[in-house]
Amino acid sequence: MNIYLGIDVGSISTNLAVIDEEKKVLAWEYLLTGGRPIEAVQRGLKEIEKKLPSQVEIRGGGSTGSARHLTGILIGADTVKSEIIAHAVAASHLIPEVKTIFEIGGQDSKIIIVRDGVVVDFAMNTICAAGTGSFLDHQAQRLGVPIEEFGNLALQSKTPTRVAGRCTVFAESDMIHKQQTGHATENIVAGLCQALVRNYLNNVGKGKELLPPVVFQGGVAANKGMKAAFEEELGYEVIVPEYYHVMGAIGVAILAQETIVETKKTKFKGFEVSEVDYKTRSFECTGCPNLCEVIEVLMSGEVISRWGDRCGKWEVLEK
Amino acid sequence: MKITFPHMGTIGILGEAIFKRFGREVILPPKTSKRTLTLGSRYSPEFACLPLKVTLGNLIEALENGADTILMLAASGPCRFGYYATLQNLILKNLDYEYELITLDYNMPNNLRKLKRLAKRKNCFQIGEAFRFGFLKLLTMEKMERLAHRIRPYEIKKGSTTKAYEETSRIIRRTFSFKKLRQARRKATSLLRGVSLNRTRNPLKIGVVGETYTVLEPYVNLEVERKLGEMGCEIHRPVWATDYIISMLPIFNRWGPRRKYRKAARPYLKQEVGGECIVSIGGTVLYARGGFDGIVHIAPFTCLPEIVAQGILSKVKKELNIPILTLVLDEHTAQAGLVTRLEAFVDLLERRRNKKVIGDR
Ligand code: SF4
Ligand code: SF4
Repeated sequence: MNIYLGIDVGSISTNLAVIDEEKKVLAWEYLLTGGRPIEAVQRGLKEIEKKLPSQVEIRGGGSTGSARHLTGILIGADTVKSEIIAHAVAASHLIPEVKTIFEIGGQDSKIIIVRDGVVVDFAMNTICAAGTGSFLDHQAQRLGVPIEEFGNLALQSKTPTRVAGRCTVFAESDMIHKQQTGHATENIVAGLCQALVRNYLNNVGKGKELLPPVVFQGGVAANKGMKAAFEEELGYEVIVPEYYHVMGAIGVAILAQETIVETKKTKFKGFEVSEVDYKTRSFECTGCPNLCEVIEVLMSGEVISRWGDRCGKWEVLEK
Repeated sequence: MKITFPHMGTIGILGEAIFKRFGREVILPPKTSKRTLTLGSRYSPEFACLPLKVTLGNLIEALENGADTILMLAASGPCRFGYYATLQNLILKNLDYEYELITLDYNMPNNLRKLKRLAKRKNCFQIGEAFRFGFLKLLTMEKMERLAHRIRPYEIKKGSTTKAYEETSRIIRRTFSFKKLRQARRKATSLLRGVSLNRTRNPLKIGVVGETYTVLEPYVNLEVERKLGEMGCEIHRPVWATDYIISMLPIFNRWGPRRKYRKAARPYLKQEVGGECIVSIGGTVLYARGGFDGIVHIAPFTCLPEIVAQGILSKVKKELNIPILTLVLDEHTAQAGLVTRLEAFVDLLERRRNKKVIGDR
């Protein structure tokens, strides 16, 4: 059987997905990056290999996410694409009529506008943490609600408390205040979801034409309270796809398949990559007053990738 | 007297050439770097626009290196640029720096008087020649930059165009006579032409529009033009330092290089609102009509004219059906996020051009 592998390495989570020629998802893996992208990729590869039927042939591989370039070099990716395109491709594959994609992950959030199967516009928010997975986790913890139950609890609320959502700092202090004045936890939780949705639509979705069908994906899509809050605010159904948390990986696996149609032969180095010894180290360049911190990745002692330089002088490896 | 002035892309070449020919010593600020930005931000009001912060940093670094006379342009008009000289002067005086400030503005007779004084005992002809030379030198540098924009997407080895361009820049910067400049130009052109290219590629065409300073200063825009070029895009832009200078002269104000942009922008904006707003709009219209694949619009955070432009551009985008990516830059703009956005935009344009619908093979 021919299969394609996609890896999405973000700052919070690392996701892998394997699809077959029909783009059906055969296996997926979701693990925490924990600040060590290389290890996460290696662990992920080991885990996902166990889930695959024997007798498979990897015809292609792709990488996406904030560590996409590094991952691309590690595994020998056939395609290295930004998260925006990967997410859009996966959503359009699963819901072909999709017009709007909300993606809220652990550390950032984005919106993608698709028309007739082509991405026409996008926006991303990498600065403000409001509404991202980490913020929700943090607040759930503070309220003493396990994150898994957060969504269900929000759904129980009949009268959500109004929480200021313009900024995480305000949201947090406002919530503390509401808690102290005796609002029920489920109402606060539901109110928080509404605040985050408003914040997202106003900041990330600003000036965009949000037409249904809307697909909601990324880690936060697991939260039923967020889905309900989106639906209430928009007035129509928001679709959460089955593989909402590994969409980036699925998308880039599809893109790898697309690439292979043209290039025919894969560069994928095989699952053995998980055994190779990689090291990272960094140094400060003193070439000019920018004093960039340049990071190097070494494979068996040889430098295979560098980044962090502003001027591009280290990025290009002399071969 | 050791003259200095802030950087704005390559514009320093002009001033340096003129004053050297006047027989003055020029101390250019060190190349804009993280230190410049840190210094500038530390002493500027937080909500001042980014160019003010960076150029303040330039001035501090130049004063540290011994400059004692600062020359600044003070364009009047509705934009905050008119206050830069005043505000920076205030800040620098508060920091106890000793120097003389000379400002040039739209008051031409006044400017001439000031320049005459700077020109020592040079006669009118010599002064004219100094200006002509400076302008020619800047123009030559810009020609090389344009050439680099054109060839970069074809380069076989990533970074080779930038390397050649930097060498070119060094060669041209060293020259201070017409004859040397001519030679340097020939050498520089052949250097750039010598970059090995793969001409079978079909690069995307992208127009880069936006506020003058951020467009011209690579440090501030995180080298967006180099990055786009290395991702395989041919860059065109309506903003050039020489055009900017010509437009400052009253006679060319109406008829100068801005005219075509003003005309193209007419259906959307009928009059100048300061800064580069009308050029951003007019440029986008012209590029869209010229079959470009997309527009990258650059603006510093809180830049008034470009906020206006951004609003109007969303209409242009719809009507002329051209994708536009607006990048708002401030001192905290992160490299990685910017690269992701650019890559995504380039992917978008590529898939759009190839009419590649997701899912069909
Ligand atoms: S990597 Fe380039 S920009 Fe960074 S310090 Fe070195 S020379 Fe300067
Ligand atoms: S054009 Fe924008 S950045 Fe420049 S001075 Fe005006 S407001 Fe500031």
